[in-house]
Amino acid sequence: MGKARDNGTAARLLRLAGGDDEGVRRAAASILRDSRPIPEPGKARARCGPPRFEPVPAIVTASAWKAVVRGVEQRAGALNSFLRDIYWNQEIIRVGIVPESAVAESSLFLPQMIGAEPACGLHLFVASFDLRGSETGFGVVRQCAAGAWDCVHIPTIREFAMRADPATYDAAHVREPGVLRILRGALARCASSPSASPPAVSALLDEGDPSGARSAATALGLMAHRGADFEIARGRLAARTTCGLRPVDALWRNGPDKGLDPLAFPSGGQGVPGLLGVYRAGAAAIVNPPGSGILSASAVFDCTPRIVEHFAGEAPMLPNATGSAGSHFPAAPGMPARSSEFVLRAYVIGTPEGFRALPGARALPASGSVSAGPVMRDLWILDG
Amino acid sequence: MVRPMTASSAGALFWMERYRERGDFTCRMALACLFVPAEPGAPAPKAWAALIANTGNSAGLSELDGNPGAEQVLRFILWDSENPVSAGAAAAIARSNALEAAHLLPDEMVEAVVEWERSFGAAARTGPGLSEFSRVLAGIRSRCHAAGGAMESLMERNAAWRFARLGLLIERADNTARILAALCQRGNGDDPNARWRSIGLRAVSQAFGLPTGWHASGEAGGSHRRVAWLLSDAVDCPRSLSACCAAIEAELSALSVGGTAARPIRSSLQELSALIPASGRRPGDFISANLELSRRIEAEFGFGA
Repeated sequence: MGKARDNGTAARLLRLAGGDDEGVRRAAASILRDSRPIPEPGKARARCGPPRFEPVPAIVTASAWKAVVRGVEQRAGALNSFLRDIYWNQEIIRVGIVPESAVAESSLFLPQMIGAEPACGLHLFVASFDLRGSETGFGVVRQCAAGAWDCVHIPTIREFAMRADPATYDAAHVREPGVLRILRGALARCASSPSASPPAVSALLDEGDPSGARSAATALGLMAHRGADFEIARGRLAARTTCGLRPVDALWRNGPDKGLDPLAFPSGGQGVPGLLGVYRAGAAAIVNPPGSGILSASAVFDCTPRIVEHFAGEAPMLPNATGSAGSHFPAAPGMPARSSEFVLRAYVIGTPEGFRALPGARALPASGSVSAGPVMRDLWILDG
Repeated sequence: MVRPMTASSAGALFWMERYRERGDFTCRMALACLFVPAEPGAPAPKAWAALIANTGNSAGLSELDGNPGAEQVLRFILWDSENPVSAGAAAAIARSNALEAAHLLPDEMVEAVVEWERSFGAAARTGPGLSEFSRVLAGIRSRCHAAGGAMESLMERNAAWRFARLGLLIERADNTARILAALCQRGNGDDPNARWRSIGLRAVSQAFGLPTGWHASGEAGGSHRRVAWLLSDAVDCPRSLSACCAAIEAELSALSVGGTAARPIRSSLQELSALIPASGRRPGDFISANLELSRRIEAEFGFGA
């Protein structure tokens, strides 16, 4: 836990919110000038405008964050059970909690994955949840199994905030997220290697625009490959490198399910021929497992509170948000109102002990489009 | 042991530099053509035949209708969109490889390669006259050299840099051997220097920035021997076969090419080095051995076809 904040932090943030701290703005402008834009996954760099730095950080109190963590962990656990259910016995459809049309008619449901058991035992490995705050609590506006690549931007945005205004950052005693270390460790545990060496994890880049995904893979220390760089050799997935074929035990991918294997999805894209066969045989883990994209389908999202209740055996801690009003998290005492206006994106990863929320999150604009360029806004978790 | 990298990325770097060197070599040959003194009564393109043969454009040129003039020949070898072996076509391949390996290259280098490729299109649209080719070529080559400068000054000496260097050195050795091949293509009883005079010793010297005076000699045949020695054995001439082979060996050693798996590369390299002293007489053997070495490097590092 961090130390208590002094009054100077709040005063500094209030000045920033009023837009009258020229020093911070100059520093931020200088950093941004020297930095490359950070493309959102799936968006081409050319189409991505220059990043905009929001000097007033989004602030979440430790108590509010605790409620978020409990809620997203509960939701992720239930959704993992849901995925296992729809690809095995489909009990949840038989009991009428989820209409059959929500699954069967969704293009994100993959019949090819029925009966498949992931190598890591998890049908959902990493997920992101966008949360909106209001006077009555938090609500989920979006859940995504494929959009979790951008969590690697958390340390980059934190570095921007630290460099732009180190005095305020030091005084605020912000909790350190350590996201990359945790994610790296979790990825290494998601697969097992037949040899004594630790499992080898590689990244599979989407054919469309690999630049954002490549930077994310580099941040995690993964070798990034396109589909054509892989081949199936002796029943195992292997990457063609300058040192020969290197077996790959787990694959972190950013593309859609249908871009994984041209043999299974002939119209999907390049991918790796035979990858789904290797996956079904348990010789390689895929993060996130194929078929998990159905969580993003609106019909499934609408049913999620009932899914949570069914699998968790208790009421969902985070309901779906209703309406399209702006987002206001409970403001920390003494902090400017602007610090509480944002949509919080929390990330959850699967571990052998259960689902754990990453100790860091992203702040997204509460409303409006981000097409003008990514907004770089740090999110601080403060005691109090 | 060097850290492994994706084979396709290594291949993109290798081919980027091969095609950048190939495109620049064609530009150098075009520049050398401009230095060739026109023989009275003979059209200039005829005197350029030996130089143009080095760029692989002879077959394409022979298919052109009529008697192409000097401007038409230069346009064809430099930026004719119908010519798959023009310098512009080489630049386009270098560009696509640079974009493929952009994550491993400094931004300045990628931008310079893209600008280089665009400069061919710009020149084609302008359609310079014969007197302007020299200036236009200088502009095109400056962009190519900016890419090389960015690579040398901004890239770490890591595996990516070494794969790019390997491509450049293999292509450079091939180009030098082709010059030597032009030297050897003479009829029975010809004066060995006559051939060289016909393709313009001074022109090649100026185009390659070789030491001044190396082509001059008081005795018959002196220039021929001196040229052959300079292009094959001179270690301080960066374009000589000797210097290229030594640099290729150094890059392969830095990439930790050793052990039984790399035996084909080692034997290929030894064969190549052994051919250097004879390259002035049998450059065709050197070109074949160089091609074989390139194929084995591609196979060893996994980016072969």
